[in-house]
Amino acid sequence: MRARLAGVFGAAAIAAGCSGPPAPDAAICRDVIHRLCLPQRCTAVTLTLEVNDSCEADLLARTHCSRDDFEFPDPPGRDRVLDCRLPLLREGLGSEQHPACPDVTDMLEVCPDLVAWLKEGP
Amino acid sequence: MRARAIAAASVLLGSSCAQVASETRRERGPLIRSFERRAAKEPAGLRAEVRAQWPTLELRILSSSVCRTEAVREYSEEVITERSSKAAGPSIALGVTATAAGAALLLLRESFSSTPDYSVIDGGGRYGASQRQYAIGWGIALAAVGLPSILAGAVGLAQSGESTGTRMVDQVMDSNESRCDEKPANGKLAVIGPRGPQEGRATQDGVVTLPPEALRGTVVGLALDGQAVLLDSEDEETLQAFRACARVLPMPDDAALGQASTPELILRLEEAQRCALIAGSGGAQAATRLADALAARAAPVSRTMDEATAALPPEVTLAPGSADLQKLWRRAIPDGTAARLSGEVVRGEGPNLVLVQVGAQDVHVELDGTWPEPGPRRGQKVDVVGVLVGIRAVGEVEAPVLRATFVRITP
Repeated sequence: MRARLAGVFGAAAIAAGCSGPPAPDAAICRDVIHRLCLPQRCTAVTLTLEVNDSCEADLLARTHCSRDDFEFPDPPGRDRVLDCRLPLLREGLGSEQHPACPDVTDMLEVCPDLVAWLKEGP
Repeated sequence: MRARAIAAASVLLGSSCAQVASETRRERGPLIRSFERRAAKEPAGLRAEVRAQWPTLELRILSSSVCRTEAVREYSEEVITERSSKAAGPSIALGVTATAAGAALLLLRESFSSTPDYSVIDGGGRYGASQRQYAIGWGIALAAVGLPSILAGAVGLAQSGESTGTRMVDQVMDSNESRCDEKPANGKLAVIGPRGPQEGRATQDGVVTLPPEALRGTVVGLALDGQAVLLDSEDEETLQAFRACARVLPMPDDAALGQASTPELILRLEEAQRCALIAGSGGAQAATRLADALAARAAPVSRTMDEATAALPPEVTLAPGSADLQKLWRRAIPDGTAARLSGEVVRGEGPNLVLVQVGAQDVHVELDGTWPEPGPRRGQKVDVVGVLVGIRAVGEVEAPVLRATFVRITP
């Protein structure tokens, strides 16, 4: 019993030490768009999402996630967006870390619902 | 970041394994007492007591045990066990350091910023941890590693030290063995010859009587129901004397003696002299008759080798490297064979018995008269003429016996 309590306590402590509070939907949405539009932009982004050099502004406008009270519509939903975002994090968590283009292509192929939302908005 | 934390934790955890090494030594104390004790009995096999009254040989078969008495000294002995933990000190030092650092981080956590790291959103959609969270996490981890390390070190130190115990130790100083629990053994006693055991004779209360015929041939040993029966040296001597009687008796008449060859007479004389030990055998009278027959036949005492070999022509020559010596070694020369020997004296073994070495073969040379001046000396080279009269064990040397009629010391 004591060992189990110690284990639970330790796991909670380590988990608490590794991450902060949940980020709001608007922050997650902006992070996804920012990573996709970081120069040099991947060709797949340009072709699939039909964007140009004003990629980030266009996508923010389409999705309305520049608003602070933004919430993900369903579909795709917050959890789906987080799952689809994972390939974009393989190169690193830093917000200025450019994702690898093959990872971006993977994400766009695996997540058509997210692509549709990014292209057309809610 | 996480990998670095795991490595640091591994180093700290490793230091907390404070092993306790133990070393034991014994120191002998004073003598407590001396006493005698009886060890466990061991079976000693079978032996036979021999009584000879011509013309019968009575054997009494006995089984017995070996009883051992030990003289023992009892000492007290101190068993000193020293335990030490070389890792206890470093373990405590590292544990205290880690715990102090962890405690400091926990106590000073309020001085760290509680603002999450907004520059990072992880895969689960959460912001990065604040500095305060890192401080608390490290503080807990360091304390969680440091406290067991202190505990392990403290246990190691507590177990270190010296303990002394006392026990009694026996030391056997002397041991005496004796025959005990003797009792008659019954069964069928067989005389073992070169071709195996002869027909057995049943014992009664351990006693069996053997006639001369049973012992006339070569005797390798005795067995009771297949189990070897041993003889003490005196009993062995009596058995051999009885066997000599069995071979030499009854004596032929004077006419037959007159026709016997000289070597045969010498061999018979040897047997008769041994037979004289057996009561009622008449061995002494037989020896006298044979000696007289030899004296009547022999020329005056030989003074030269030529005279000696003329009186007793050698059938074999025993010299280093000779073929006859190989035959002698293989026991392929029958008793009663006249021989000429060239060898080197090893030592005198009795008033009229000298051990001579011929190559690698030992030979006992038996002489009726006295050894030529200045007597037997080690390394003395000799030529001997005589008759081979069997094998005899003298001391530790069992070797053929040459009954000499002539001995010459050579330069």
